[in-house]
Amino acid sequence: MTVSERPHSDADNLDQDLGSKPSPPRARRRVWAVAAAVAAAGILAFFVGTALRPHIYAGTVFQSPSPAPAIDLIAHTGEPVDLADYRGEVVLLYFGYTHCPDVCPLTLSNAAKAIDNLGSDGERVNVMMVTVDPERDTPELLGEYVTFFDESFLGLYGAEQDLARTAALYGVFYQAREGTPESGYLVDHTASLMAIDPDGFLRLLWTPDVTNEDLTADLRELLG
Amino acid sequence: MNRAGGRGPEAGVRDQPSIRRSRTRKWAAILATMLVVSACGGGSGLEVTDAWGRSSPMVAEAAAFYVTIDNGSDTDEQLVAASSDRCGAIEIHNSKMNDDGVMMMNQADPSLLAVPAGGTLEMAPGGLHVMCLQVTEAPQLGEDIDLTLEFESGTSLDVVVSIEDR
Repeated sequence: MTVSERPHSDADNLDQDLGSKPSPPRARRRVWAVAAAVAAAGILAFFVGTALRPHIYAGTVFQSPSPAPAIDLIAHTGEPVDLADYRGEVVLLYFGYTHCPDVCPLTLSNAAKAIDNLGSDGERVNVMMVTVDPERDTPELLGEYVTFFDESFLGLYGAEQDLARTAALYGVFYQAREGTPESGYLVDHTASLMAIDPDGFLRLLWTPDVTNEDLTADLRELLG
Repeated sequence: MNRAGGRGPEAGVRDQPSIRRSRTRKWAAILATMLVVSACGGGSGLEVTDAWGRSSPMVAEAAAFYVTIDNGSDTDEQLVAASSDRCGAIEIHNSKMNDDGVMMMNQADPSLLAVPAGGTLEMAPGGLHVMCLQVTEAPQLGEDIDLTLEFESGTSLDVVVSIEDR
C-alpha cells in the first residue's frame, strides 16, 4: 500500500491515529481478519469433530462377555478352523448353502466388495461360509462356490452334529424343507452375517440388506 | 434496422447445429420407438424396464434374475411363468425374513405377481426373483440371457437379462 492511498497519510498524524477511533479501511481490515479467523476455527472444528465423532455401526453391536464359541469345522481346503489363528483380524461368519441363488450370493458379493474397498486392510478380513446343506454341499462344491466371490473365502463343513452344535452356539437356525420336484429341497436359515472382532469376540451382526458401503465402514472401524 | 440486420447472419450460423440436433433427436426417437416396440408384448402395454442377474459360480445349480415390469395398459396382468434355454426349470420365488432373522425362500404367492393396470412389478435381491433351476451353464458377467415371461392373459414378453455386478 502506498502512502498516498492511506487516509490521514500525514506522517505527523500516525501516532494520533493509533490512539483515535480506527479509520474505516482499518476497521474493515480488522473485520476481515476476525471473519477469517472465525472461518478457520469453524473449518478446524468441523474436521476435528468429524475425526473424533464415534462411528455409528450399521450392524447390530454385541457386547459379548466371552470370546466367540469355537468353530469345530473343516475348511474346504482340508484345514480345521481355529479362531485363535485370526487374532488381530476380523472373521466374517455366514451360514448358507450353494443352492441358494438369491440371499447367499447377495451377502457374499457384498462382503467381497467391502474387502476390495478396504484395500490392503481387506487382507485382515476372513470370510467363512458354513454350509447348512451338508448333504449336497461337498467340500469341493463349497470351495468352488465361495472362492468365486473372492479367492480368500473359506467354505466350512463338518459332521451333521458338529454343524448343528456350531449353528446353535451362534444362534443360527436352519432346516431343510421340501420344495418342488424341480427345486428339490430348500433350506431355511438364519441369514445374518456376523463379525468376530480382532480380540476374538462376536461383535457385529448384519442383515442381508446391508450395503457394501456400510459394511466397509463398519469393518474399517472394527479393524482399528 | 442495423440491429435486425446484424442478427440475421448470426441466426443463420446457429441454425446449422440446431438442424443437426433435431436430426439426432429424430433418430433417438426412432430408436426409442423401436426399443419400446421390441420390448412390448405385441402392444399389450407391458414393458420390462429392468432385467438383470448376478454372475454365478460355475458350480451353482440355481441362479436368480430380477425383472421390473411396467403395465402401461388399463388391464390388470398377472405373471404366471417364465422360461429360458439356460434353465431346466424356472420358478418365481420370494425370499422373506421372519422376525428371528431366518430367511425362507418360497414360490411366490400369486398375489405378489400381479402387475396392476398402470402399475409396476419390481423384483430385487432379498425378495422376489425369477429362480433359474437346473442351470445348464452358470451365467457369467457381461452375458445377455434370453428369458420369456408368460402372463395369465396369454401375453408373453421376450426379455434380455444382463448379467451384471450390482
